[in-house]
Amino acid sequence: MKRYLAVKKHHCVSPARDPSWSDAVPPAMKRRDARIWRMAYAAAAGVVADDGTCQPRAVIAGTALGALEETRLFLDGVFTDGLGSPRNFIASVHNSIAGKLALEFKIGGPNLTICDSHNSFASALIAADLLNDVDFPVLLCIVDERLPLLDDLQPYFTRRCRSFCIDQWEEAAVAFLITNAPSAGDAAMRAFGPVLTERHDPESICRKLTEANVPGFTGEFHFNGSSTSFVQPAITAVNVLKQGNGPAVIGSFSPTSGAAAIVEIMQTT
Amino acid sequence: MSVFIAGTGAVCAAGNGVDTGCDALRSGCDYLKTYFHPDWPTVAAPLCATVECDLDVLTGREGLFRTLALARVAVDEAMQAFPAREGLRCAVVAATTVGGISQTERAYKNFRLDHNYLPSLAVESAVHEPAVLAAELCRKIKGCGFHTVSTACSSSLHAIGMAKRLIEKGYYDACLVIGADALCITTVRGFGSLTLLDPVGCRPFDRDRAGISLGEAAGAMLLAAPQVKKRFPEPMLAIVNGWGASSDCYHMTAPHPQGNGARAAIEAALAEAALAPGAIDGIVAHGTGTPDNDRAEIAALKTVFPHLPPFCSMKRTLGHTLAASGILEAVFAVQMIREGFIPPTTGFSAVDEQIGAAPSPGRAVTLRHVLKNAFGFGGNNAAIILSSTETAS
Repeated sequence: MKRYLAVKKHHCVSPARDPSWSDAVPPAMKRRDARIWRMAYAAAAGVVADDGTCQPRAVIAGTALGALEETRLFLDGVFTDGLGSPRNFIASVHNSIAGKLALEFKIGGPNLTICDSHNSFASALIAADLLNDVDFPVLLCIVDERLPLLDDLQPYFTRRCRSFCIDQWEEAAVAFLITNAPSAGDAAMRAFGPVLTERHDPESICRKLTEANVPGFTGEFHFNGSSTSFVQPAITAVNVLKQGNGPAVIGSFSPTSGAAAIVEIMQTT
Repeated sequence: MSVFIAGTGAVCAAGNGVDTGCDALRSGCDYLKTYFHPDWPTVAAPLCATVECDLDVLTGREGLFRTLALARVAVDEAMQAFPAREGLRCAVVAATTVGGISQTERAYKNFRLDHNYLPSLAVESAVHEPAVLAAELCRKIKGCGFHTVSTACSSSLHAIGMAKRLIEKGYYDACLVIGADALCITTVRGFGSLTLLDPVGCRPFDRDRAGISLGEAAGAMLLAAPQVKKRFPEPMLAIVNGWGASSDCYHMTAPHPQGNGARAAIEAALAEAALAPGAIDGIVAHGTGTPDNDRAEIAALKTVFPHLPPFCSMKRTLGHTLAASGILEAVFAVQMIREGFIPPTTGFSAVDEQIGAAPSPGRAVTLRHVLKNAFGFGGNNAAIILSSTETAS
């Protein structure tokens, strides 16, 4: 049965909103490493304590497209001279982000990368629920980046995906430090889905989750928002947690996979 | 809880079907040949294990990208064991590294030549996201949910482990687990840029080993909860008994020299299976053929197992099929348990004194518990334990 996982800390890095987002990133990493790695590091540094208390034992990354800019740079190299940079290739692998976080923060337990499009946050939260008790606390990092090419593609994506508009491609890295045993007063989260649905309105998502007979799902949730970018569900969760105005339900819908999911946030008593 | 394996499926360089692949492994066949990408005739890799069975109906008439077409072949075989699914909650847990990137590669190349190609790039790259694979398979089997794992070469062992726990925790009654990756320019050129491709073909654990040989494949497993196994017409094939996962925290591409992370994953899998190391009868190693991987894997195994059980690598026959490799080789490990054999490690000929261990020759042997390892970029480690149904508690 799904359990609520307690949110001990959270931190959101949004380059568009915070020009100083990279201050926490070590100089060597700024010089050498992929931008999406740096975003993930900056978010994680906001929840992993310097003094080693509450050290994560596992890391789960949720990302729709991974290090897309590194993929583009690698392909540019291949198409230009037949060669690609090994550095770009290494970074382009989806799980390089979680690997980098494990390396930097010395997290030796399970290391998973979940790629479920706009539903990656919900799906990553479910993956955390699957870990053994000894693997907590878990560092959960939801991250996707924005490329100029994606902005160029946006009108055509929108036209193709009839019922769904991506308002704009948003990039962010959102980190949560979560434990498996909520204390009284903790904010806690659990997720349902992803399930296939051709529509993204709350009623359709609820109906599909109910039809899927998801244990614990009542079909009576009130939606606070639905996603318009890969990372928005996680950003919305942070906003809810900051304001302390739960309970809340955050819906997400992926036009490319035609699937929806929800994350429920509540306050434990 | 024992989670049962109700069905398996495979497509690989050896051909279509679990039996075909198994026969090839027993015989020590070698399918490596110089790889030419149809869209990139000038780009050649030294040697790769390419799937040559007919995918034209799937990639042509149905318009599936190659990774999905491979997955569909394996899924069709595995789902033969699942004729009556009314009322069962079955989800898809998919593992892929490249997904539909071959479509993106072609479209992006055209876009670079002509920026008017932008609208087509949007359409063709719509399958770039790994989630598309799982969603399409979920749609095909009328599943009630899906999850996508992408942890490079360890992906599909994690997918098996996650599916096991999704069933144990009551999320679903059954899970179709799939690992699939097609060859593409990104991986062929990428591993080439790392100088990790053995020009004469991979030689796992051999003294002169010099790298991997890439391959493409899909493997599928249908997992079922004990309380629903009677709904399946055929006897269960085996049990998924334990899953272990860990991170090296050492280097982004090189494994820890003493195999510390690998050891932790293996020990976690043993702990979940409640088995002592001495209970393991055989090991299907990751065994890629790179000097570092094979050395670290044997170091880890020697630490866990005072008496090293017989082990093998399937990489020369199947190629290193990346995200598919874990589940593909696990599918064949199920056959090893059922038929009682260990295949030869094709490509191996001389013991490396530095690692001091030789894979088992091909032979008949009784196997009750088999360990399967897979390790990936980012210091990512996975291990599962597969057991005979006779061991079910």
